Amino acid sequence: MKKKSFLGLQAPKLFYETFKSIPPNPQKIPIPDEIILFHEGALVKKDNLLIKEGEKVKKGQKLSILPNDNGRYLMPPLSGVIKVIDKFVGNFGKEYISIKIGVDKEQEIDDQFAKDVVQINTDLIKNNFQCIPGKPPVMLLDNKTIDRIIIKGLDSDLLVMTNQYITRSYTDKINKGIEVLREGTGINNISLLVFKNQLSSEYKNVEIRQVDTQYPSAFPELVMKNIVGKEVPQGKKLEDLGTCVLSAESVKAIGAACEDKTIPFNKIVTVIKKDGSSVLVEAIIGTPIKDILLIQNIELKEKDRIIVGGPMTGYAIYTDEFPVLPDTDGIIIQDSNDVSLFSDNYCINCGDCIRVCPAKIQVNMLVRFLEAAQYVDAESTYDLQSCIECGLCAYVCPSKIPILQYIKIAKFELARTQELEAEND
Amino acid sequence: MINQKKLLVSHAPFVHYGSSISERSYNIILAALLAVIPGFMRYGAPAVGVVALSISTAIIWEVLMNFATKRTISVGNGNAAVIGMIFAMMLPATTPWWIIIIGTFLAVVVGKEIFGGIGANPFNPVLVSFAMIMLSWGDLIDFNAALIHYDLGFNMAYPLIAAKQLGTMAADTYSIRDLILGLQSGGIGSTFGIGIIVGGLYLIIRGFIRWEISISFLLGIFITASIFKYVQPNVYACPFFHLFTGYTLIGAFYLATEDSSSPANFIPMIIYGAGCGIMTVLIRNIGAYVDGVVFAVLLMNLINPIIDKIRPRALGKVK
Ligand code: SF4
Ligand code: SF4
Repeated sequence: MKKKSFLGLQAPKLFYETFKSIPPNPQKIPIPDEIILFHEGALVKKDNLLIKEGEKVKKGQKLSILPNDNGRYLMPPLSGVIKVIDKFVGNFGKEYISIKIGVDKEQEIDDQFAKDVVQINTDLIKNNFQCIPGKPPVMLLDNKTIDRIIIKGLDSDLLVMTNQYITRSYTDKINKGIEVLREGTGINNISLLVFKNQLSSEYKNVEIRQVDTQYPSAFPELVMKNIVGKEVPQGKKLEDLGTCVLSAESVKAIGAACEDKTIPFNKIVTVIKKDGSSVLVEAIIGTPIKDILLIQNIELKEKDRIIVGGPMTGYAIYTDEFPVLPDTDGIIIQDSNDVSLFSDNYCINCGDCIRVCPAKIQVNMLVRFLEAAQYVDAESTYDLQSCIECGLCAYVCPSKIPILQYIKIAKFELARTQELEAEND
Repeated sequence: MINQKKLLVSHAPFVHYGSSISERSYNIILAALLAVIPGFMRYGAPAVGVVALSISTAIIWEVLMNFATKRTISVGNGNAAVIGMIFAMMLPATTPWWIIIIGTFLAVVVGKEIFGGIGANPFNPVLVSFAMIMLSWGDLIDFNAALIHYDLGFNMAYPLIAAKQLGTMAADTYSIRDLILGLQSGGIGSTFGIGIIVGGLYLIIRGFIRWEISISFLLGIFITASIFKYVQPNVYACPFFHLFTGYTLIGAFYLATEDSSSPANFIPMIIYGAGCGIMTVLIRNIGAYVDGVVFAVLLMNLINPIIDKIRPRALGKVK
């Protein structure tokens, strides 16, 4: 990562890692004895669940977890026995049901998909691809208002190379996946996003769009603005503009599933070691991160940090038993000596944050409102909802204010208030 | 999960550029030394005493306020030291000790801490204090009176007073070269033009102050003074005289650029800097005070929040 240079006349710039040649094949992580899966939702009472501890599950079996779950399901990547069902609380109190499965020696595969795959349509996509690597937002594809698909052949955050690698190495599978998406959804406007001066000739049946390598130009909102030419209005999402973003990995998985008649569950993850070097590994979804560390010979000390995702937007976890999730593209092991800390300093109004903010937010004013928990004013006067959460402001702030954290809390609180108000109406 | 290692959990981003408030402060002090050390050489031990007392008392006032307001001790960030340094740069070497102590009190406590500390002060703390001292004990920091016993081999009359009282004739007796080299009477750190400019450029290149403010300040002075000179060449001093006398340079690089009281957006910075420059010349040429910098910058500090509302449209903002 870029450290402060002597010259400071210009705002610091960060660039994505791009590779000229394809890196070596990812190292395969052996199948673990136990895997952990997360399903979004609150665990109130175990009796309410549609699964029980001790139950046998098959690989690729569609499991309903909660009654009235809006069409959501869980698909075990390996067959085995449900050992423990527990609750897990993530960032901002988001609740998950965590399910630990003891993995069978002999794998038993559910045959439903093999039967379904003869006919490619929205239902096939919706009913089988919710839990595949890349975690595609398949429910959106069912939505008739979506008319554009953007496939991200790159990763939004720095240092992570998972999707870039997949785009370079699995051309056939991705091409097949694109075909399936066209046929299944009827959406023809599909484009593949890559960095400037990177590949493209292998992809004939899809429009190639190139983005700049300066962070955070691969963020969907900026892609929409700079490449598609539409600005996502404050507080709106891309799907409100009829656009659905899929990762290259999920398109690859869709292609592979339809080609091989079996759903793949192996996930490619960029592991960034303490010295900053990175390697690619391939692990089954649900594999505890400690298994990966073991094979990569990465030693964990007290006060080190494990980050899931990238350095700018990822989240730190408190245990190495945390599993590889369908959308875990990067794992960073940060040595305790390299950990940068935030402080309780005040904003000195230096304006460095304004100069780096890609969303042109007056961050110096915004933080004043956020520190005082005046979220409504922050939203109406200082463009809170324009923030794309790239973290650049906090990266440069000499006061080391946890700006991004403030912003996320504010957005979270506002959303919660809105929900409560809606309930009360 | 027994025997688990305790991992550090915190929020993104997980990397930092490495900038810090103390880095900014110490670089400003370092750059200021380029102007202050020549001042030491010219005025000797009394000047060293003024600077030392000013910096140390500024720090002490902040520590005392930290205790009084039960906040964490904040002097480590160097901001109090910067205030003490810049305050001393503006004073004559003969300033009585008690003025310095009162001055740093006014700067640190009244100018900064009661507004909430660093970043929350609406006015430049040094100028708040300096304006009050000027109004209360103006005679003691009047350069003609203060430096009367010095004979440094050049004209010891304070150039701006000379120009104000005697007009162009007096102003023309100062050569621009002498003025830039600091052969003029004035504050400890505000006469050696080359030192201030080099220090200022250093701060600009390192990104600690904004060129937009400094350059537009100087341009504002130059253009306004040129207009006066053009209209009435016999009455008003030439623009270069204004650029290199009084607090112009220290104003452009150290006073107007104070973070908290100056704008952070591009166009506002230009307006603000130019405003400071224009007001300075207006006060000098038609106002009551000989040097307009102090009040010009304070005035622009006052309207800074309004100017800084001119800003680019945020992403996705519907007009
Ligand atoms: S995280 Fe900071 S820099 Fe990035 S868009 Fe939001 S306010 Fe701007
Ligand atoms: S970078 Fe930090 S200290 Fe500087 S203006 Fe922005 S929030 Fe304030």
